[in-house]
Amino acid sequence: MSVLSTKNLSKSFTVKIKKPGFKESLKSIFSPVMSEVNAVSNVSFEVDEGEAVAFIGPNGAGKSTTIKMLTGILVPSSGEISVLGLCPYKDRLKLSYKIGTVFGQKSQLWFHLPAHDTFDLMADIYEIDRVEYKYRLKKIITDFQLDEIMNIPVRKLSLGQRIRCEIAVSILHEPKILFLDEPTIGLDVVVKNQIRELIHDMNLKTGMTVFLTSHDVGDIEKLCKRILIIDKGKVILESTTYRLKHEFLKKKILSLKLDSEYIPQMDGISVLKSKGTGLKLLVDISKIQIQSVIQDILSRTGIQDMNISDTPMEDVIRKIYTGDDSDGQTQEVL
Amino acid sequence: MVKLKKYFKIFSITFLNDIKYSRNFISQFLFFGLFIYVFSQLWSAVYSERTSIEGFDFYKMLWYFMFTESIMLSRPALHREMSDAIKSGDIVYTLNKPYSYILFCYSKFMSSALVRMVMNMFVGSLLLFMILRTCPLTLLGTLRGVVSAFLGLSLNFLFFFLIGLSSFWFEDNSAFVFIYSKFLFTVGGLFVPLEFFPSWIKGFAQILPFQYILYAPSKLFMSGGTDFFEVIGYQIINIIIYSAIVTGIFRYALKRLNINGGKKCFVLTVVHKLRTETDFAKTAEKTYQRLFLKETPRILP
Repeated sequence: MSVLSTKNLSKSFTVKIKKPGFKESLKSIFSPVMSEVNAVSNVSFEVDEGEAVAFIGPNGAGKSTTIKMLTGILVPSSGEISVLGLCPYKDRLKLSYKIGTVFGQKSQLWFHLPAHDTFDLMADIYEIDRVEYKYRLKKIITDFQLDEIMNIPVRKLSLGQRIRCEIAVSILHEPKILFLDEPTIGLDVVVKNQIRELIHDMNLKTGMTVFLTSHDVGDIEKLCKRILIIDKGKVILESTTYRLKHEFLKKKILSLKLDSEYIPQMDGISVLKSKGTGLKLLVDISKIQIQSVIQDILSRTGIQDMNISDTPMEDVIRKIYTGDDSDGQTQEVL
Repeated sequence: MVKLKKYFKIFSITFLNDIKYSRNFISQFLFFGLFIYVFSQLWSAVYSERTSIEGFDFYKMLWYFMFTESIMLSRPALHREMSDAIKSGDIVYTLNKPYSYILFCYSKFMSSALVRMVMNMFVGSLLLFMILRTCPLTLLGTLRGVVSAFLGLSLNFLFFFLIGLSSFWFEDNSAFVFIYSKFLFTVGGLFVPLEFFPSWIKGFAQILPFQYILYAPSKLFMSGGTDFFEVIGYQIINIIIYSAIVTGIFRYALKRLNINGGKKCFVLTVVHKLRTETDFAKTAEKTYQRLFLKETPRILP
């Protein structure tokens, strides 16, 4: 069942354009030049209950604007939008009880007070029954391992501890949808992994829908089964994470340790690295089968060790962002 | 009641936040004591050659001034907080909670202002009693004065909220605060009671709402509470009128969020910085490091 849907959703606004310099500043006061920017243009998608979807795109693509429209903060210029059967900008208050938001670059915790005070405040703001609140808080403290940091002023917490508290406080009212805007920004690899595990567990155990934006490919791979890619205000690609990773580029990386030096010369193969008997090849499987490459190598020399892997997800996304579809595969996935 | 409980909670957490740094908290009141002492010397010079001005003798004048200043200096910098939140786009993250944003700001404002006002009055009264050895306060007058001062602060909040909202249209709202403060200084009766003014200014002041923020509550403290119901009646009427204006403008202003927030905010920040700084690369780098850490700055087409 769809819990979140948009149809031809658009948002445009005007910005004042001013060239540098004193003369231009004066000119812009008396005859300002305005330009219309289409932050989001005809975006349509649906998200089902319990799904974890990555909503990604380069900077300025329209991700934050879309999230703000989905959470009812911004009013769309045109199009239809529905979140949990509600119109976000008309039913903002009603919707706010049912959704949670985490913004990696912003904080909803009271900076000078212990995180516990913010939890108490949120319990009242979301009108959670006192007994129920105590039960939930106990569970959250255990799940998020917060027992040692709950009574320390937020300003003294590390970024990783703070983000754990941010996510914990945003699910206190048990939202049906959790919007995460770059939740792991600035975190080290260990803490990033902890945060991903927590969100993944919540998604699996409670069936809470997760709508994530992130520039970190690790977040997307770990958490989301589906990806929506937006650029210049438009959805340019919609695919499952698996398909994007394994099928989009139709290329495999073949790493070999040979008995003797040999480089196969075949169409669809490019050499990534060659050092002594070590060889790393990029094989275009739309042109040549892996099996044929291995057979060719075995006909000349022996193989001591071998590994076949997909091209890194980061490369896939980079190619989509930069519009480099020279292989003609972007259209194919679409 | 459950709906109201959240605003009491915001009120109490703001109080906890304010007293977190006790030395800062206490130093405000020491400053206030010093301030009153300096002005007591100033007024003693004014009254050196006369005993009364428009019915206000030296003692009455000092007590009046202490009350107006107690209310005036109690207000937190709501306009600056709102301005920062609007310009940085942070306001969107306080808007997506199940409460009224206006009441959220009101609870925060009143928590800081009420505590400071009561403490200012306590310190000021103690000091004046030590200097003057006389006290015009009665129990009923004090109670009525406190009620009226509460309403005065509420009206004060509405004006500061309006000034804060001006950030949707203006980059810097400090000019409005300056103008508003000058209204309070003069027709609000901060430094001298309205009786001191020529009749045409007094007439002008009486049709404006500013007298109900400082002058009217302070007079109630002094007079023992006479005209209490008339004063709070006018205060409530003004609060209703300006609440309606504030609500209307706030709803309209929400549409201005179109240009502030997310990456657009970043772009605007860069453009804004360009007005004052010429080295684009330096400005863009600084701004992006501050706001987005790893992200590459990008100007929208």
